Amino acid sequence: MTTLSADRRARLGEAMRNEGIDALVICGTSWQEAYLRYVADFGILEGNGLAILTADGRCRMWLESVADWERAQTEAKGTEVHFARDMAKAVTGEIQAIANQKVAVTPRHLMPAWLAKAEPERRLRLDDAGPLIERLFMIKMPGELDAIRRAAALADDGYAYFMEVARPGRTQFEVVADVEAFLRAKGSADNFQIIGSGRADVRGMTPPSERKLAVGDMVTTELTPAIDGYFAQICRTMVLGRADQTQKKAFAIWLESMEAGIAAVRAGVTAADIARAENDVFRKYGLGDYVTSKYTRVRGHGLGLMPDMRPAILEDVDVVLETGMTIIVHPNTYHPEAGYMVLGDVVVVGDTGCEVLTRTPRRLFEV
Amino acid sequence: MRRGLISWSKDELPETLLDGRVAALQAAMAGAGLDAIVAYTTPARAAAVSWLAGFVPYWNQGLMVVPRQGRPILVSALSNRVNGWMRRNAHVADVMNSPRIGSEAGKFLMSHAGKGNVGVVDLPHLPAVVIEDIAAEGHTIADASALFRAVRVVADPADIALHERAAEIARSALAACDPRERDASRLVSRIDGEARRLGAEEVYPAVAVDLAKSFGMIRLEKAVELGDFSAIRISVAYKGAWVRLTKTMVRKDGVRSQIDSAEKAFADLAAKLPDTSALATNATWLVEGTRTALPLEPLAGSMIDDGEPILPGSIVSVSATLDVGGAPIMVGAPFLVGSPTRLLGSSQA
Repeated sequence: MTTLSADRRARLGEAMRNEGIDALVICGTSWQEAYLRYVADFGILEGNGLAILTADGRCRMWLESVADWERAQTEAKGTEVHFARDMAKAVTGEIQAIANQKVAVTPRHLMPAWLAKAEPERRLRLDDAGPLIERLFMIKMPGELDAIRRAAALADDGYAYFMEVARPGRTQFEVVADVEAFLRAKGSADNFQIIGSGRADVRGMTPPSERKLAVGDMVTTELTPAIDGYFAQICRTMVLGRADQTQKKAFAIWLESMEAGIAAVRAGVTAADIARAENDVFRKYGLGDYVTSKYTRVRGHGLGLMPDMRPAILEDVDVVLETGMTIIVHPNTYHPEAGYMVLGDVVVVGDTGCEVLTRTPRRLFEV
Repeated sequence: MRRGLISWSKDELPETLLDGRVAALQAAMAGAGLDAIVAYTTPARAAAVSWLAGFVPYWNQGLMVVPRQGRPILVSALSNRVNGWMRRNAHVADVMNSPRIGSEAGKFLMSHAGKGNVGVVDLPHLPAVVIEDIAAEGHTIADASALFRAVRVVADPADIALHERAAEIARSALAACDPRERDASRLVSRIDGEARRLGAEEVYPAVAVDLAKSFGMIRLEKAVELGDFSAIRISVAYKGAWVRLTKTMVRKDGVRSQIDSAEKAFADLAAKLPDTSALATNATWLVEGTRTALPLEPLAGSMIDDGEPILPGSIVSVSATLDVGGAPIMVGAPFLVGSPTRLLGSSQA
């Protein structure tokens, strides 16, 4: 096991002991990959996976994809790895063997139907370990912060490369393919990236399409490479050509908003406080409608072993920020004249403020 | 998370074709006494919905609801802001966005035809809460996996064409890499970028770094130097169609002929499908294919005790490790099973 994965396992074991949990059942799939990564240091790609971590530190993992099973034998060090074409058949007996202990499951929302069926049939009680593991996800250890710092540096490099390859006449997916290859060559096995290009007709970002970039387009992207499984994100907007006054004026509001949000970040404030600091700037300029769910999803979010994790930065989220949390502050939304615009930096929450990890200048780029 | 090209192509998947697939499913559900079919989708389990609606999510989860009569709808946990993008890329009557996809699906069915018998594709693998939410609206739940498999298993011409294209992309990507490359990250970078530039929706490369030491495949999260004898496995999706190819690479010209021989021998073995007995003479072999929601479901192989028959007309990805003169050669490619069984994407090989 790597030092970081051993540290995660030890931290999880301690949390289990504190809660009196004898065994933890962890469900995993690619779009919620943090869970298996945390316990088994494995980035699942295909199908479902399930791991059982017992109080003695033994970890067993079952995977329904042969390709993932083959990878896991090398990658998931310190974990006994099994292929299970029929997960219920392979694991139900193992679950039954621990049914007389205090067993918890996470994430509850991914618990497969076959396992839920086993609860009454096997007289098994599965407590919800969500709060336990989500707290570990949110508050990072030094080794986790180190990985996120490296991912943030790569996000900066990736954005610089994005500006090189995003040229008029190229399709969105060709540009993202180039960025993907760039990140891969630098050792990033995963990346979350969405993109938008155009003018006021563009109301958000999506996966890359066949749309061709054109002179005068405002090009937005959210680029999120992972290093050792930890994601860091950058959001920037550029114009292909010269930015017009409308775009510049809009960008100034986004910049003021993001900087107000970042200035508010410190241990003890709530996610709502950050969102309010960002949104107040929009309201000051008469753009209050554009910070509602009609135009924007969140004003930032946590990140770590997934590119989008708790806490969501929204005015109705009362999660208190603590030292060691990592979040992105991004007042991304639609502007009625300029179109969809993004700007965001990753920060680490500190006792009295925050450390900004991404270093790309906060500019409306013109290329 | 998908960041390749996700785009429903009406040329490659015409609306009439998708309507025909839905109609076939509706006919089957009528025969089984089902009032509706629900198919779950996530980036990892997208195959059922992509086959019915041409849609693949880049993130999050969703349900496609196919009533016994009328057009299907899609319920997605993606935010409402991407509703327009989903409508452009899914052939359904409506797209709804809700974090409680099971509840929304259940309510839609209730408003459409009242309480009913709902068949769920891939039922055991769905999150329990999704099933509970559908049932909470008053519906009874049944496993419709076998019913769906029966309708879906034989590939139609559009399905074959998409897999053919996926295989062509994978072969072009493999051809773009330099077999003398030492840096595994650079090798994977070339393959990944090339496949995505050609329109791949997703690419999963994995490398066996040094076959002299281990056959273990890794995803590569740090700098690794390739040995003289290595292998790369590339799993490629193109518009919901997945294929898997494996290629052994060697630096020395003299040994390359052994790989050519192994690939030829492998093609001959796989050509005997649906009969797997020839493949089974190898210590390690595997046949994967799409049956319900998992794009490359293990169907038969050396590590599967209770495999299922490989049906004529189905598309499969086959892999094996062949022993050629004492050297293990890892090989893999997609095939259309039939008379004769045919290698896919070989025009650019």
